[in-house]
Amino acid sequence: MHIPDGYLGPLTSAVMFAVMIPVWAIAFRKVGEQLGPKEVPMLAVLSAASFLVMMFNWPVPDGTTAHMVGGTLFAIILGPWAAVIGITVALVIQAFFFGDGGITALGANCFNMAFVLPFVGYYIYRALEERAGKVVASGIAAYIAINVAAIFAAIEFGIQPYIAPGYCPYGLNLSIPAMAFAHITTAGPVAAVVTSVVVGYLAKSRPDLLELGRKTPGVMG
Amino acid sequence: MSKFVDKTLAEIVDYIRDAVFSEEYAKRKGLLQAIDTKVKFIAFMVLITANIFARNVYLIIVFFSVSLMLAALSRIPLRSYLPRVLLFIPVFTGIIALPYIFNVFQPVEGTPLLVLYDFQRVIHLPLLRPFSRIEITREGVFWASTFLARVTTAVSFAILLMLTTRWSDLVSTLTALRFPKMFVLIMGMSYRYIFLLLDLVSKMLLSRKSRVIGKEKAVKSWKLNAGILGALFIKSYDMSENIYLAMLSRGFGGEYKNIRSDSRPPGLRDYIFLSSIIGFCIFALITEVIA
Repeated sequence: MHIPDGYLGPLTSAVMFAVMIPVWAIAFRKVGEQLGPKEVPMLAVLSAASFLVMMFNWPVPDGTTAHMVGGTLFAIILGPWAAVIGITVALVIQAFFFGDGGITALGANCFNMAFVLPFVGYYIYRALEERAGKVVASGIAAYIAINVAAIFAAIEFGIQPYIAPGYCPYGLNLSIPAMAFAHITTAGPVAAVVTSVVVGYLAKSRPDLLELGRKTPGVMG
Repeated sequence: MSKFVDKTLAEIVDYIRDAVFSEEYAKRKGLLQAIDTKVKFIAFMVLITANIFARNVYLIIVFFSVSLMLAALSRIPLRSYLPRVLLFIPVFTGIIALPYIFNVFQPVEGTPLLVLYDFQRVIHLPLLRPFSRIEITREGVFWASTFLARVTTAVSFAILLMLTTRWSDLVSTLTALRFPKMFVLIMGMSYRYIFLLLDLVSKMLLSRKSRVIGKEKAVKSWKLNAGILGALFIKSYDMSENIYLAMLSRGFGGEYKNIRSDSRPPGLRDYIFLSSIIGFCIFALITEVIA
């Protein structure tokens, strides 16, 4: 899902940064209020873990790449605002050290993977948790969240032919099916299985970890 | 799947080992190593942004030559610089961009370069424009190469910045440029965790491999992998608790102090460097607008 440099026109890149700046500001404030210094190393560990799972990616012709992000798991454990910061950190390191995901596209990439994904995942998980149980709920949440994020990415570069000729040439008719197909069939199931398996393992061996996110709710307002 | 995982892991380990190794270049005496890190960071952001505005492939090649020139002036041998730039990302980007060279994926009819197949009748497929031939078009090849050049150039600048900057200098620069303290703190820590976690995962996978004979069934293999992932999580959580206690016992109060805090103000040389980079970018973009 990493959008490379040069896929988005300058205008879209700028708009996505403009959208993310208040999100980052709120995230830093919320996390500063809700998480103590004790959770800081945990945030860093999860960020590193997210970095590693994102390295397992494969290219999608007509789109970008497919991979899991770990955003839903992150949001379940530490709350969605903490996930915003943690995944942003992972994306920044990837963009600078590995050239994976563009530096000018960081706003867009963070919007999709560090904002949309953990929030969608978190709220679906919370909604289903009681009825479906933690394991199933986390799997469904991760599956839907990664697909929603992929569609957002597809829309961002799919509109380029209409507004910024010379950048991503694939219109929405190609970008959305390409990204949706790759995520529905490959990255989605991987994310669902890995997330539910880890949540299941944690529920069995360290249930206290799954309560952290609730203590520090990410509810807006 | 497990081959894919093994291969990717091996690649990451190699790359990271390389990245650590590469502090060697950051310690050399060259142009970029001598420039103040804050100034260098800003200059590279300017270069990468300007490169995005460039639509002419020749102009992008000029930008790429600038990165090669800066690498040479910083005493980074091309044979270790170019593979880093060209190996991974441009290959991926190439696969992403490849379909566009064919007419069927283009929004309007282009100039054919090479006809691959003629159906003799109009084919209607969902999502695609109706077409009667599959051909490679001039416009498609032109766009794909422009795109590839632009991505490669952007990656070349990012890698050059990292190769010539020590990690600790970069962290203190981010602090100096007023990035949120918590961001810098977490980034500094997770950078180190990546190495540690990677080491843990490879060891766990290796130890499992050494105890498994023959092929595993998919479900069983998933369950084993799941255990590894879960254990990894718990291990890292315990580790993060220990690290917190270790930090606390050394006087951590929520603030990150860098040992190599770079308080030296930028000098004349730094300003000359920055203004020539900005001047070059403005000049390049003006020529683009005129052309």
